[in-house]
Amino acid sequence: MRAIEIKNLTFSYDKQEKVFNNLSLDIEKGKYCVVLGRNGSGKSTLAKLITGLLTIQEGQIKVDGIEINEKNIYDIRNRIGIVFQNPDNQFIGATVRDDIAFGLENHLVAQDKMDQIINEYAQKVGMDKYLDKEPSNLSGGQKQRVAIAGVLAMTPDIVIFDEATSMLDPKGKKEIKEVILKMRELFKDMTILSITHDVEEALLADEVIVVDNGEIAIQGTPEEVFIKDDLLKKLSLDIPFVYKFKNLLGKNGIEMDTIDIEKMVKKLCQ
Amino acid sequence: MSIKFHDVFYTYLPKSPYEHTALKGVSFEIKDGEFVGIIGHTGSGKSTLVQHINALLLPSSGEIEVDDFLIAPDTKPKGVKNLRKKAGLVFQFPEYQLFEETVFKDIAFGPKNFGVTEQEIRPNVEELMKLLGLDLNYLDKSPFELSGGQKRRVAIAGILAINPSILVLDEPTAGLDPQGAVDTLDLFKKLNKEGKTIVLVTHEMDYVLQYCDKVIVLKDGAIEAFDEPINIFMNRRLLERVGIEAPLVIKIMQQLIDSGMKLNYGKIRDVSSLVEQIIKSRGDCK
Ligand SMILES: Nc1ncnc2c1ncn2[C@@H]1O[C@H](COP(=O)(O)OP(=O)(O)OP(=O)(O)O)[C@@H](O)[C@H]1O
Ligand SMILES: Nc1ncnc2c1ncn2[C@@H]1O[C@H](COP(=O)(O)OP(=O)(O)OP(=O)(O)O)[C@@H](O)[C@H]1O
Ligand SMILES: [Mg+2]
Ligand SMILES: [Mg+2]
Repeated sequence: MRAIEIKNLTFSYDKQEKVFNNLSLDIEKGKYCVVLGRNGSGKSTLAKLITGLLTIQEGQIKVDGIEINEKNIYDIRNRIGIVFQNPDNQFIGATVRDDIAFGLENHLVAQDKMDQIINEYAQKVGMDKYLDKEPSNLSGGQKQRVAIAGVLAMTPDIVIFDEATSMLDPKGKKEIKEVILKMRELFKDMTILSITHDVEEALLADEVIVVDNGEIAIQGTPEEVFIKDDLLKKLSLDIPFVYKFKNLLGKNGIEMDTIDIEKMVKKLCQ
Repeated sequence: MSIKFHDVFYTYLPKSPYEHTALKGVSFEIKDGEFVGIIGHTGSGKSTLVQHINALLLPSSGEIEVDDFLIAPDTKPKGVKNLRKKAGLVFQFPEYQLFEETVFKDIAFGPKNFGVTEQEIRPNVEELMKLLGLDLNYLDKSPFELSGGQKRRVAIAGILAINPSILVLDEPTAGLDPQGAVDTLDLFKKLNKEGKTIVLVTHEMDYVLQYCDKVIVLKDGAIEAFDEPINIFMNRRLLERVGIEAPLVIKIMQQLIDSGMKLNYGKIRDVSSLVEQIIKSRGDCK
């Protein structure tokens, strides 16, 4: 079963150059996919097309097997939760609490359950002490944490993160990742599409999709993608640290058959 | 062009139910020509701190000296315009900084404000766009119709156009693709070598290790440490206390040292220096 099916998609902003020309892409249900691509390659545009925030000009997009059209767009949006690249574009409520509540109200969650859900998700992202604050008065990373809580609280079928943790330090990023992975254990069918410049995050993904110039340049498992270091470099991208370490050791005559740090350390100290 | 903080406190929304003291007695000195990083957990006060350097925020108490300027509570310092020409701040979110109709006007805004004509600026704007990897086709495009990383590049170019002697950068690489991030940091390093003082807020610890001379560690609005990056990252207890992780290169190095390899850790900054030291020390394991 596919969560997202894109066929022959063409799109351009208002009289401008085409961002996508005949793009096709399938994403299986329940997969954790990381999307990489240089600045301006079309990642955010793709996310907005999948959520129906932008309208396709040619081709089709199916979500859970249903083709997006004008009539079902609200139903489709209810299945997808998106965290925008700039969290300021996300906030509606006067307080953090209202903001998380807003999405839940839209999903017709009963009032008595609401408080419990809000607390639970605020806690998951470490923002439970800030529920009565105004979103605009938060620090950059706090805003991102709240935006993530608001979307996850709705337990959407498909979660799209557009650089949702770009203002968090590696430890903060890891905490959020754990929250997501735990949720995926709970809701087996949850599909995650995470757009990021952080190649370390891509190591944990089921699948890595590299976008360039409006096309899918590479698609595969992290292992399949990250051995193409020369191509990635040409696309302004990078490979995770462990791959760089392994490759450079190899060039110096120390071959490693693993990217597991502990095993590499052990071998080096034999 | 030194920066001195003397016991600076800052409280947001004082005497309201939302009152929040974000800086609690911060004192330090950044010397002329230094490249200093600022790190700390989400909400620790990094952005609040750096907004004091060009008097965007005024301290609730305490004082800040930036070169000859004195920034004190309540009143904007005299000649604040000149201060902003000396100390340029790139915001954490580029959207806060972009407001003109076209990319050209946005980058040219600062210099124009300081009396340079549009014609005079043009070559400089184009040069900056090239340096930051922005296609010149975007000159007449609205900055709001750019991708996130492109907006970031325009915001940085707009500050560089003023040619300030102090560059204050709040997460300047967030949203940049990996090549863009490294190119931009290399550019800052080059400007630093030419004499500019750089203050870099970042959560990328690898960059701190590779580019910064020193690093300020903030926790809950107070300074926990101010030292060379390697000393900060080798101090596991400090990192634990402030909720920060060392870069992977340091963690691997520590595991090797713990397993008995004798590494010259003072020389390790990135993957190539790590491998270089491993080659030298291999066979030295106990
Ligand atoms: N609202 C808009 N109007 C016109 N052009 C746009 C608009 N938004 C983006 N573009 C252009 O479309 C292309 C794709 O932009 P998009 O935002 O999808 O890139 P991205 O892959 O998300 O990049 P980044 O990594 O910088 O966020 C870019 O060339 C950009 O300049
Ligand atoms: N405008 C504001 N009004 C009230 N409180 C604020 C405001 N801006 C920030 N704060 C609070 O002050 C504290 C410090 O915020 P600051 O933005 O300086 O943090 P930061 O270290 O830059 O964090 P991040 O890494 O998330 O960007 C936070 O707890 C934040 O909630
Ligand atoms: Mg984007
Ligand atoms: Mg900040």
